[in-house]
Amino acid sequence: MKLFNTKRASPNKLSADQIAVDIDGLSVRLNQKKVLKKISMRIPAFSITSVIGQSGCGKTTLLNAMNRMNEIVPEHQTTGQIWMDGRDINHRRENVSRLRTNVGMVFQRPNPFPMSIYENVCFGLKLQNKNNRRQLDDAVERALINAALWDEVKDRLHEPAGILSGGQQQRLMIARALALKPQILLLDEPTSALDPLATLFIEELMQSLKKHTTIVMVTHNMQQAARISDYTAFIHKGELVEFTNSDKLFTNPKRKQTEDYITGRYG
Amino acid sequence: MNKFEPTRSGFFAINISATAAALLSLSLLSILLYILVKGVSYFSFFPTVAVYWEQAYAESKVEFAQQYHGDANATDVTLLLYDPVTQRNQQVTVKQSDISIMQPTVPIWTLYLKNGAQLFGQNLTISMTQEQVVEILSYSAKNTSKANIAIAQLQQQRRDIVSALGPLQSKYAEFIRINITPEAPVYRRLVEQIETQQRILQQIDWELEQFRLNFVLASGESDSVSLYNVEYILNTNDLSWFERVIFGAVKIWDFLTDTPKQANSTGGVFPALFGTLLLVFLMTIMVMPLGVLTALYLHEYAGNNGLTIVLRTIITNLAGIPSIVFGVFGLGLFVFVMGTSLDQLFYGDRLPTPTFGTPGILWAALTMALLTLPVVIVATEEGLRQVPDGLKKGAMALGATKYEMIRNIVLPIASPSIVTGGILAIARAAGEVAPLLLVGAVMYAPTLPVDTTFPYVHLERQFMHLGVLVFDGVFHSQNNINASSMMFATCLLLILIVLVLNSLASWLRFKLKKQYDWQSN
Repeated sequence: MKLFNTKRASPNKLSADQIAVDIDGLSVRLNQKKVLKKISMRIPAFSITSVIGQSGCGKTTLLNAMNRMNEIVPEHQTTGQIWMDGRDINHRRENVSRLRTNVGMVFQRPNPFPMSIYENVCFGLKLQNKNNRRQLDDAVERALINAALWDEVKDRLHEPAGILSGGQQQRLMIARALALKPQILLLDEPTSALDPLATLFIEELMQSLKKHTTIVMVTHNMQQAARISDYTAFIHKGELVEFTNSDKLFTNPKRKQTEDYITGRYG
Repeated sequence: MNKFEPTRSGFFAINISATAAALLSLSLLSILLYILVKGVSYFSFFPTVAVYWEQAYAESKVEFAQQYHGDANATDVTLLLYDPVTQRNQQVTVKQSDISIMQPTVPIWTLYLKNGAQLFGQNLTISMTQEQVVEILSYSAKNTSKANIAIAQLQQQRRDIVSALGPLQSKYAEFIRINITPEAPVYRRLVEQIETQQRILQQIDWELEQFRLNFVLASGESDSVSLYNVEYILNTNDLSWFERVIFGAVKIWDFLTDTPKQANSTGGVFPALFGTLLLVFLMTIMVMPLGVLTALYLHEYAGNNGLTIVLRTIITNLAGIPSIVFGVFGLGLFVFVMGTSLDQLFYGDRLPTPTFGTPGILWAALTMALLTLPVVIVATEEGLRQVPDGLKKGAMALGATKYEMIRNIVLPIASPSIVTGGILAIARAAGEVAPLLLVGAVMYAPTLPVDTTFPYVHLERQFMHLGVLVFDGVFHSQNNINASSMMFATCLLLILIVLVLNSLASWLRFKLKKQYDWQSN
């Protein structure tokens, strides 16, 4: 039995059309603190990439940089380029709203809006003035099916989203992002607030989603990263230490820091 | 030997706070009860008696009177008499020992006059041009008598002529203003028209006076009043409880729909009720957008810098300024500066008569809006603070701009708090009197701020306010029981209005809270 696929090409060896996000010299300052230092990495398309590292090392900031959510912080400064589809998303003329519909994001804690399940899913579509009832119905159904939630909620679409369980809510959050048909889905510790069964559900869902979507996930759970992700990046104190395919990183890390972290010798 | 050690339970401290809570609820209840009991007496019926009493330095007197509190055991009896000279009621307090006869046996009728006074008499008859028409037996007879039908017709004619006279007179005023020569045929025709109408009016008034209601006083003398001046007739000694309820309801209806009479000591409070509600309405539509937008700016857009700290301090301190100071400020800035410049800009032809340069309901509403602004801002900011960051981020991550995020997520979730701010503002504005006295509320306003003449809403007019009416009523209440009970009835109405507005807003708040409950998960 073959447990580890070490034959997967390293992200640096992939051709340009296999790359979804090309981060080039990204540095981020938040509230006058240097959070990310000169990060360069190429995230492969249609795969799951995990970002691991200690708390406060800048994992979430890296994720937020990919849909410019760092700008919510009043004092922020981003340098370097992030290329998606041949465009630098950090360019000042980039349409941030369109970028964010293209790069969906799911947070650690499910944050359903105080509306019905249906309205939660079509929230992003309604912002784009897509108000055709039939099209909305179709989009909601497709998003919920893709998020593996349809069977559980199809009879109560117009009930408040708050009645769902934590795991269902998190899948609703994924459906909410999927309704906009994003090319990239950013997941910020999507399962850390969930029980093991719900976690399993989400992990299976991610495997099916990667056929159409590039997934970047931040996680604290190294087993999870090893289990489901194709590529893993290890970040330490704002610097990218190692980024390669998961099997290689977890079985045969090149850097001492990585080895120390994955074997639990770090805090 | 086995002594129990007492448990330390803090019993004493609990006792004090429980007593404080009990005292509070007791005082709240007694306020409500006091106002209720005093106010309801305005709508109740007192027995009418024939009374004969000795006076110390004058002739002894026999009168029909309404007997206010004072049963057989009381030392003093308060009586309400009718004074035919002033055509008003007069209140006297008589020692029980001076009274030789006091009995409600004879059927004594109470005539409720149109000017608000109550007249007492017996053997009622109606006469039309010196010829007796019908004898009245009960209150219902008045409504069906021939005389009354004739009066109704005359009154209709009178109303028609009065409403026809209005435009003519304003045309006349216009002629005077543009200095038209008295020789001009248009002017002469107009004057002729007005004079004809006024002659007809005088004729109708004379005819109305011919319907007399004759009655006999306690002294045996006969007297009469114009039937036209009588609102309704009751025998208050002979009312079943059902009739008391029915006529009490009639009195309440009159109280709500009638104008004040006899210098606000009797009659209804409609203009004040209307003025209060209109003031609150205007104030709300002014303060809510301003307050909510300010709070939004402070909380969502402005950073946490020195300027916002100064702004917040100013807003909090604004709430502590005495309300009369707001009145002075409104008078100085709104009335004298803004109003005068408005007059110069748009109403130059009416000067020197001011239009907006004088206290009026617009300036009163603006002053109240300023007064209640901090309440709305603070409550709204409290609501904005409750919106979880996760939801805001979630909306932004779905491509919402900051404005869309605020409109779709922040405002709905903060709406219960915004409504709470509205409730507090309304309650304050409905009850505040001091600043209103300076910027437009008056004891008596001949016209309502809304009527049927173009442009229908006259925001420059002065208005009456329930609080001001209470303030005025206090001065009458010392020597007039009726005025005192009317003041309490007004208080009761004011409490009820605030209560109704509050419950409405609370219901709305509850609804919104249920709809936008983000905590239920």
